[in-house]
Amino acid sequence: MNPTLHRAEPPEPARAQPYAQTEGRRLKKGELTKLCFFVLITLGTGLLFVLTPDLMPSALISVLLFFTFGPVIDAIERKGIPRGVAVLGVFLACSAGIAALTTWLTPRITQEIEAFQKGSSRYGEQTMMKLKTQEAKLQSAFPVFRNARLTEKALLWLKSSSEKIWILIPNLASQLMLAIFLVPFLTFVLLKDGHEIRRKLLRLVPNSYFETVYSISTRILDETGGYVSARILEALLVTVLVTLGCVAFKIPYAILIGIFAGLTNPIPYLGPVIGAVPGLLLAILDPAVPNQLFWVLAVYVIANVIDMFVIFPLVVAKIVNLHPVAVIISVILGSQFFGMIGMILAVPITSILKILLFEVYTKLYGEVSAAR
Amino acid sequence: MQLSHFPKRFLWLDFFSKQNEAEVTVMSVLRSNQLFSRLTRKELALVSKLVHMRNYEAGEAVFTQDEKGLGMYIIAKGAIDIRMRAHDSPGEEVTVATLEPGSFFGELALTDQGSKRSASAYARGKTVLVGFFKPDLMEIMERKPETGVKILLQLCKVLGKRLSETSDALTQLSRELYQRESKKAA
Repeated sequence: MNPTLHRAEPPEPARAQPYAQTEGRRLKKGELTKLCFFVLITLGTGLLFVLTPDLMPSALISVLLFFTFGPVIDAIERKGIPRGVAVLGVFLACSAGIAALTTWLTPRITQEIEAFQKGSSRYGEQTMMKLKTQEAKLQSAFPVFRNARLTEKALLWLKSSSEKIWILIPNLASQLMLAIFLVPFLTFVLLKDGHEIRRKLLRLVPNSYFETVYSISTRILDETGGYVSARILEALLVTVLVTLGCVAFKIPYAILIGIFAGLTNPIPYLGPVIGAVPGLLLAILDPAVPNQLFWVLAVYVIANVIDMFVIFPLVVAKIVNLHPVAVIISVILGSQFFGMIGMILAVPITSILKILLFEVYTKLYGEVSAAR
Repeated sequence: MQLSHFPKRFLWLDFFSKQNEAEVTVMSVLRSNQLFSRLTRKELALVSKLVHMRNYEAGEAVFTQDEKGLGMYIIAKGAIDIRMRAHDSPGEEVTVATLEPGSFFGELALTDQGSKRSASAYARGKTVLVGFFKPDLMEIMERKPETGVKILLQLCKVLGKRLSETSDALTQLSRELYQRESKKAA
């Protein structure tokens, strides 16, 4: 008898077999326990990271690195190199790269920060002067604003904001120290045994939900993974473009301006605008940089045009398919609850919710081709 | 405290052992299957780390007819009843085949994700299945394309054989139908 094909034996109508269901499927008692255990484990792990502020950034960075380096590890493995060796090799190469970059960048960034600290009093004076001039103009045009004291309020806000930043610095430093130890460890575990961890988690899923949960989790990982890695690459390229542009036009603090533009770039629609703010403010406020506004604007416009028409279509090929209104609403909600991190994570989280809602919708109302 | 009854490899079994008992069973199940028969020992070890071992109680549904399919199952232990909804009374199902250890079913879903299952599958007694799904096949294609191609070629062979069997059955049926019609007309 051929062991590979369906072995059709005569049906046995006389021997009654207690089949679970013929129409739909109901959870058995044991399966319900399994489902509860699975939900508890996944939600518990998620909550552990969300509710532990010190763990959250390290976990988030590790997941981002996992998505970024996952395809690289797969490509190395395709050459016949064992996964463990591939992960170790990438780690060693990255460590060497980071060490070299840090050695090259640290003195330059320190120099830029020191120059900025020295110039900050000058920027303060310039800001005061410009604000007072504008306020006087506004008050003469609209006498209603005579008692508004806009300059005073703006300066008070600036002062309180800078004080808040100083309070945050020690906390950031401790998180950075923790991240230096935790991120490499978590990333290594995810890259080497991520598939195995996922398979072990899937063992907890009851049989009736196994295929659905596996399908949804695969779609979520594929879509968010592709989006995250593409956005990280795009942000790196924008950082390099803006920095090189600033260096070419002799605009000060080129590296800091480039890094800020790259960090804000993943925010949909608003990112390029927010990223341009420090450079444009500098061009307006710094008397040492006369008539640079045009060149600074040119750098941002050129970088964003290259990003929009070259990098985005080529790199962000696996972009998630979301309606622009959904993207805008998710970015606003993200900024309301989690600030800039929330704005950056808004799109992947919304795409996860979209996949989950689509699956629930299909389960409840049947197949709808238009909804996909 | 007496710990002699405690399994020696309890703590290490899942996390650190290179190949545990379940994997060995999976390896032997995979090796005897036509889809994986061309794979080397090393390739089989990779596949055994990707597939999913699932336990079913008597009468429990593996999948039901018209449900979205994600992949195929190989019977490691026990047996599976393949049942289809009757044409004359849609509420009832009839057993069309009973599959034994070594057989596999649901492989069509490997080629077309989201395709609906053409029949239901129920466990006959306690059954252990090895699940191999489209994401697993895609992962093999990503990590070891040559292994993926071997599996795909075997899958094509199986599907081709099934298609030829279906064509033969259809030809036979249409011939019988034609003969009946001719007799009626005579």
